[in-house]
Formats: sequence, structure tokens, C-alpha cells
Amino acid sequence: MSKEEDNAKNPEGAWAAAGFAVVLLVVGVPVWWFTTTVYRAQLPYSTIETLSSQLRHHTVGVTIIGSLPPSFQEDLVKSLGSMQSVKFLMSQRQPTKEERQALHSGKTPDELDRHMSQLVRVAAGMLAVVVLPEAMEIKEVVVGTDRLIYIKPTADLQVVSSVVRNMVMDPLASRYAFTNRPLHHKKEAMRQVPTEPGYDVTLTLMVPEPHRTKIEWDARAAVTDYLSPVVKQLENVSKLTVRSQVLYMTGLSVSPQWSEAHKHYALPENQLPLTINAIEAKLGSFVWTRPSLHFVVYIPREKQLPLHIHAADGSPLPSNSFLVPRWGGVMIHNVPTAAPNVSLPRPVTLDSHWIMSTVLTHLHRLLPIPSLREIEGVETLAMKDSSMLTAWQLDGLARARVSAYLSNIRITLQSLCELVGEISNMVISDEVGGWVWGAVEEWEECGRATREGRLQDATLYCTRSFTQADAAFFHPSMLALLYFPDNQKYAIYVPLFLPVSIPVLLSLKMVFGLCRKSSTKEKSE
Amino acid sequence: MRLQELAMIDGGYWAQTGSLGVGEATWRINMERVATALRSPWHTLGASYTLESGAHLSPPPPACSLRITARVRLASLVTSCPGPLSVVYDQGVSETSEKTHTNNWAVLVDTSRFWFNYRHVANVLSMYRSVKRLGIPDSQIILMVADDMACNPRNPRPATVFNNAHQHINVYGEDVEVDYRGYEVTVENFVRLLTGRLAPSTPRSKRLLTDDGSNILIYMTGHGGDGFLKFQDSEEITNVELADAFEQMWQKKRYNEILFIIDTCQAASMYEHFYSPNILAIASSLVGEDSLSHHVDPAIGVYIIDRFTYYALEFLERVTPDSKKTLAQFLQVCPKRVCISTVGVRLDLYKRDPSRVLVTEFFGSVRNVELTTRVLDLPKCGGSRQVAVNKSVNTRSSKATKPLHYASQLPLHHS
Repeated sequence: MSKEEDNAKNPEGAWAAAGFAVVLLVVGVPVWWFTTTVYRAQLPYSTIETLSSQLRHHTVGVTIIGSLPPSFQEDLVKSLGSMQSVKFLMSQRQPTKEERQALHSGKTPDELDRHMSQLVRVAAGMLAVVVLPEAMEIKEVVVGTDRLIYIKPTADLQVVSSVVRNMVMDPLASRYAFTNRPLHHKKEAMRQVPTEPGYDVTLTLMVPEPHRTKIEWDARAAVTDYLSPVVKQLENVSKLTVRSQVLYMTGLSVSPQWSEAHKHYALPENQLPLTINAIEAKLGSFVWTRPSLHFVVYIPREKQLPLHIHAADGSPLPSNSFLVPRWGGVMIHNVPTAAPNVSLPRPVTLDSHWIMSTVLTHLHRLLPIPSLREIEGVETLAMKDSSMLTAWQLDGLARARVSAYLSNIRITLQSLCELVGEISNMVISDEVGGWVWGAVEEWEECGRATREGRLQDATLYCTRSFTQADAAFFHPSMLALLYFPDNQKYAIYVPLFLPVSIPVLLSLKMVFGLCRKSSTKEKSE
Repeated sequence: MRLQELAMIDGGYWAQTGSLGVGEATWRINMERVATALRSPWHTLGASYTLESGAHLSPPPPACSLRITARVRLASLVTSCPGPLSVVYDQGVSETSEKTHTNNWAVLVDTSRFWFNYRHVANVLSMYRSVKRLGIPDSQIILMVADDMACNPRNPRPATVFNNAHQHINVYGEDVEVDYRGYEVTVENFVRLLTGRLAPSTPRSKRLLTDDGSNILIYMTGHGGDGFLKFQDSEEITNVELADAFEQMWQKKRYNEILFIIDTCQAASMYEHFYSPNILAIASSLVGEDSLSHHVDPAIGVYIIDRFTYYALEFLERVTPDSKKTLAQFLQVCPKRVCISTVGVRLDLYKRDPSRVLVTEFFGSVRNVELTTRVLDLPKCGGSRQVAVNKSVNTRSSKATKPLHYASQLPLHHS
């Protein structure tokens, strides 16, 4: 008896086969489908794609107070127009009565600035150009501590325009923000610290011979006096956490030469690049993962006192300090040589003013804080009784950082989208999805704020956007390795499904054959 | 040594390296005669010279070399040999070549465990020793070692790992900071490390905190095949995964340049799929070739180092932080006659000319420095608390000194 005949006489078998097939298709396939689909939160792909094409520029309102020849204003707009990513909105008004009085009463630039900055309130992110009466005996262009620029009607247009440009954004910082890659072969451009929401600042006092010199230095007071006001000012832009430490028995591995001409030990410039390597491991266990800045105050060993850094041309460097790009600064603090027969350790006090001035100099250059030092014929007024930054410096820094953030966020989000697009079965958790949505929203808010010139809002939005974009990008689940590549799926599913589906398919064929046979039988009857 | 020969070879390109002879390094060179041969006053050669001591397992090569750096300084001198002595000019690069990076990182990975893979641990520790000696701080070296050979019970000389049977260099050194060890060395951890997608609780020492100014040296060793490198006998990383990880790093601006070195069988297959810019890849063997080990130490009973790394270490031992040796020279460290396998190099992704890139740009940490020419003119802050400048001698601290006493040595419990 053949198999088919057996089947034909056994319709229950056919029903069973059909039953298996139904169970497989109706239950099995949906269960497999639902258990193996990965969860992918919806992401704003199209918005992220258009991020790079979106216009982003800062708007800086410039009010001219006083009367200038109309051509001057036009020319100023024209020469400022060349600045990438910043749009200037010019307006002009006449000085009020009080302002006019203040202008005439102020004799020195400081006095003038003090009066004027009380009268003229300029919002964050804006600037005002005050035209001075011609008779005043001060420089052609004076930059105040607030957001005021004082010019004489005779001032050179080019000078005024470059002053405004440098105040608005540090030229190097703006280039850094708008190129995707570091500016190669440009030492200055590599100096700037990466744009991050916070930095760890560590002040290290290195005393290689504590048995000979007993250092008396109140680091806490020095930090409160000089650094804390600046840190507080910068709070909205980036958070600096300041710590200090003393390293004993650790010295710089340098071999200075006695310079007979200068009567001191000379440390040539070419020894400096390697000095910090040896101490870097000892500078502290880093707890935080955000960038750290180190400022090292080095007390030379007794037998190398006094120690002075010599520039390449052989002349001693007055500041006796050097800056290491993206890392911090090192300063050599000489102490007087010990008198004969002095009992050891001898107490030595340090010059807080010098140390903190150098630290702040380095900090200014690392961030970088805009300065007008390089422009000739300009007087820049600084805060009189503190180390604080002026309002326009803070604005300039914030503006540069907003630009850097915006381009960073864009790169991060686009790279993330590309990754997610390439790996189609990568899980996108709600957490990651939420961050991406948040980052995009804040990015757009920030773009709007910069266009409208609301600098403080822009800073806030982009810091938040940056944090969220980074959190999404670096989320541990966004790892291609965790997910099967598509081609490996077949290797898994084929051995799993073939043994089950082949008998089912074969029996289905048999069922169909049976149906056909029975229908032809009915027809023939 | 005949000086005529010496002068004739004068100016020859750096080619032969590591031709040390066996025996005591007591050979003396007549400095005046060398100077005459080089037609320069002998003191410009530098009065001091260092004798490199140490020996190889291999029979003494027929030629010895005398190495003179670009500034005509006698840097190293090797022992007497029966054959002619050759002068090797270390031409170096011009001073004007500029660094394009601000900091250096190194990721050194040994992927295999068990005693018979002693050589891989020695390989990775050789690199660790070199980068550390050349100045990369431990905080910027990520060392992944899958097994602990130094403290293995089978190690007859505990706490040491040597690069040759004569115990020439103890690559284990005095302080080794292993960041990922044992079973932590996995493909997942490695890729996470590169891409930065680590758990938030990961400590700083286990993170690669690079930025767009970082040059990264990535060195890997282990057992590999065509297109993969085995991790720990249980898994492997493919060349595609590695290439994708590098691309992720590039997109997030996590490196400036990468020097990728891999010492494994069919090593060249690992860099085939790289597509991110600024990567220079060096492999110890081409696809289809085995990478061979150097020699057995009978006391240890296993092969103790691989050929490529052995010669690379030999080269790196002569590099000083301020040396002018270039990557082009490094690419020549293991010619086929000593390596047996062919060293593969991939240059198409790398923009700069290797002969103008210093070895220390990847193996060392030579920083840019900027002299501060002008200090900010700040007003004195803090008023009365401000101490006068350096009135140092005999200033008494105003605080009354607290009497010192010894702390109790044992914790006492008072009931």
C-alpha cells in the first residue's frame, strides 16, 4: 500500500497537518515577529538632517550714541559685514541730557566710564558706541568696562571696526567654532580648551625640597581674592571647579645652566616641552571625566636658585612662566637664597599677586577671553579693584562658546543619526530618544536666541543641548557590537526554522493534493 | 675598524639597526681619528658617548654600526666586531616641522591569555615601557593585558617579564598600571573604550578622554586570522568593527591622528577596511602570512616575544624624547630578513609624509609650549591679607604652633 493511498484513507492526518500549519502561521509567526523586533524610539531625523543648512548667526545690536557723519555709520556696517556668523543691527540716537553732562564732566577715561556705565544700560550681547566731544584729551578709541566703546569723531574707521569685531568674538575662537577640524599648523589655535560645560582647575604648588624651604602661602585666600570672582562670573558660561594641592619632594626634571651674565640659572626654552611629562602622573587622581586645567607653581631647588626661563634668543623671560596648550600653565616662583647658617627649613612666603596674575593670564588665553591687546591705538579699561572680567569680555566668550557648541551638537546628532540608520536593529531606548529630542529642541531654541541676540538664553540652551546630545551619543546602548548584523540573522534563523517548517510545508502540499483529489472525485461522481 | 671605510659610508641612509655584538661593551674608539675621518673637529662630535651594552641571542652580525645623529654627535657606539664598521647617519627631520597635536594617548592591547601566550604580554609591555619612557603619562595610557605573566606561578623570575632570554630588558619595569586586565579584556570593552560609550560609572583611568588634538597610538597583539583578531579564546573583533569604531571616533572628533600597529598573524587584514582619515597603519605580516615569534627562553619554556615587536622595541630603546627619528625609520625596523613575515603599511589614509613625522609624535609626549610674554596687569586684591613680596627670611608664622605629639600606635578601646 503506497503512502498516498494511506493518506487518502486517513483524512485525520491531513486535518492534523493543516492544524499545525495554521498554528505555525497564526501563532508562531506573530510571536516571533513581536519578540524579535527591536524597540526604536522615533527620532527627529529630518530635522537633524537640516541642522547644517539652518542659518545660525549671532545678532549684535550696536547703538551709536551721539552724532557721527552718516557715511561713517554706513562704512562701519560695511566693514563689519565681512564678519562670519555675526550680524550687526545698527541704530543711532542722540545722548540724553544727563549723558551729555556726564560726557563733559568726565576728565579721565575711568571717571567717564564710571559715569556713563551707570547712565547707559546696555543689555547682554549688545554694544554701544559713545561719541565723545572732540575736545577731550583721551585716546581715539577707549573701550569701557561695561559694553561701551568711546570714540572720538575723528577715530579711524578701520580701528573702530576691528575693535568691535574683536570684542564680539575672539578671532581664533570664531575660526575654531566654524571649522570642523582643528586649525592645523597654527599653534595658537590649538591652545584653546575643548568647549565643555565644566572644567576642573587644579592649582599645584610644587615644593621639591620641603626639608629646606617651608612655604607659607595661603592658597585659599589667593583663590578667594583673585580666582573666585572670575569663576563666579563665568558660572553661566562654564563651571570651573577650583582645587589646590601641594606636591612635596617632586621637582621638574630640568637641567638649567648657570648664566654668568645674568647671575642666575637659565632654563632654556627647548627644555620646556618635556618638563610636565614627568610630573603629570603625580598631579592627582582625576575623579571627574571633564577636562582639567593645571596651574603649577614651582619652587626651584636650592641649588638651582634663582631659576629663570630663557627665551630662544637667550634673554630671560620676565614672566618666568609658560603655557601648555589645552593643559594649563607652569610658573617658576623664585625664593631668596638661604642666608648662611640659617636653620632649616627656612620659612618662605610667596607672592600671591604674581602667582594669581599669571594663573589668570593663562586662564584667559586658554578659554580664550577676547582681548584688544593687539590693536594699536586703543585704550582698554579694566576693572579697577578686582580681577573680574569686563562685561564685553564675558559676552565675547559666551558668543564664541555658543558657536562652538552649536557646531559640536550638530556633528554629534548627525553622526548619531547616521549610526542608527546604518544599524537597523539597534535599540533606541526612550531615554536616548528623549535626549535627542531635547537636544534638537534646545538647539533650535538656541539658534532662535542667537538670531535675536539673547545671549544669556542662548548660552543656557546650548549648554543643555550639548549635554543631552553627548549623553545620547555616548550612551552605552549605542554600540553596534551589541546587535547582530543583518547577514548573521540568516545563520541563526535558517537552522531554527528549517526543521520546523519543512515538514509543515510538505504536509501542506499533501493536504492540498488531498483536497484536489476529493474535489475531482466529487466532479466525476 | 678601519676609518677609511667609516668615512666612505659617511652620510649613508639610516638602514641598519640593532647590530649589537655579543660581549662586554669595552671597546674604545679613538675620537680624534673619527673626527679626522669626518673632517670635523672632534669636540663637535661630543666628548661623551654611550656604550650600549647588552647582547642578542642571534649570532653577532657581520657588521657593526656607529650611529651619529644629525648634529654630528656620537650618540651610541657598539662593540667590536670582526667585520667593517659602518657609520649610520640619523638624518632626522628639520626643526621646522610642526606638530599638529596637543596631547598623546596610547591604547595598548594584549588579547590573549594563558602561559603559552607569554610573548603577547611581553609584546604589549615592550610598547608600554617605550611610551612611558618617552613621556606619555600613565593617565594617558590605556593598557589592556589579558593575563598576568609577571606573577604567574610558572614564571621562574617573579615580577619580571623580559624581552629576551638574556634578560636584557625587563619590560615589566617598576610600576605598571594595567587599566583593563584579565577577563575585562573583551571586544565589547575595547570598542566601548574607543567610541567612549562606557557605563557612566567607569573611572577616568579606564576612559580614552581624547579630543580633536590627540594623537593616539593603538597597539594590538594576539592571535589573529584573515579579518579578525581573537580576544581571550572566546570572541574576536573583526576588521569591519574596528574600522567602524575608528569612524565613530573621527566623527566625534576624538582624534587628530592614529598610529595603528598590530602584531599578529595576517595582521594586514585588520587595517584593510579602515576608511577614516589620518590613520597610519602598520601590520607585522601581510594577509596569508604568519607573524613569527623571536625566540624561546629555555627557563620559561615558551616563546617570549614576537619578532616585529622585538625589533620595534630595539629601535624604540634608542629613541629619546628629543630625538629626531622619524616614522619612516620606524617603518623600516623589521625588514623581511629578520622578521620573516613582511611588514605591511597602509599610508593612503595618512596625509603627512612619514619621513617628516617624528616617532615621538606618537610614542612620546612632547608638548607645545608657549612662553608667556606678558602677564595681565591686575590690581592687588585682598587688601590687608596681601603679604609683601618675598619678605622671606625669618618671618615667623603668626599662628601659635600647636605642640606635636605622637599618635597612639594601637587603637585602644576604652570601655
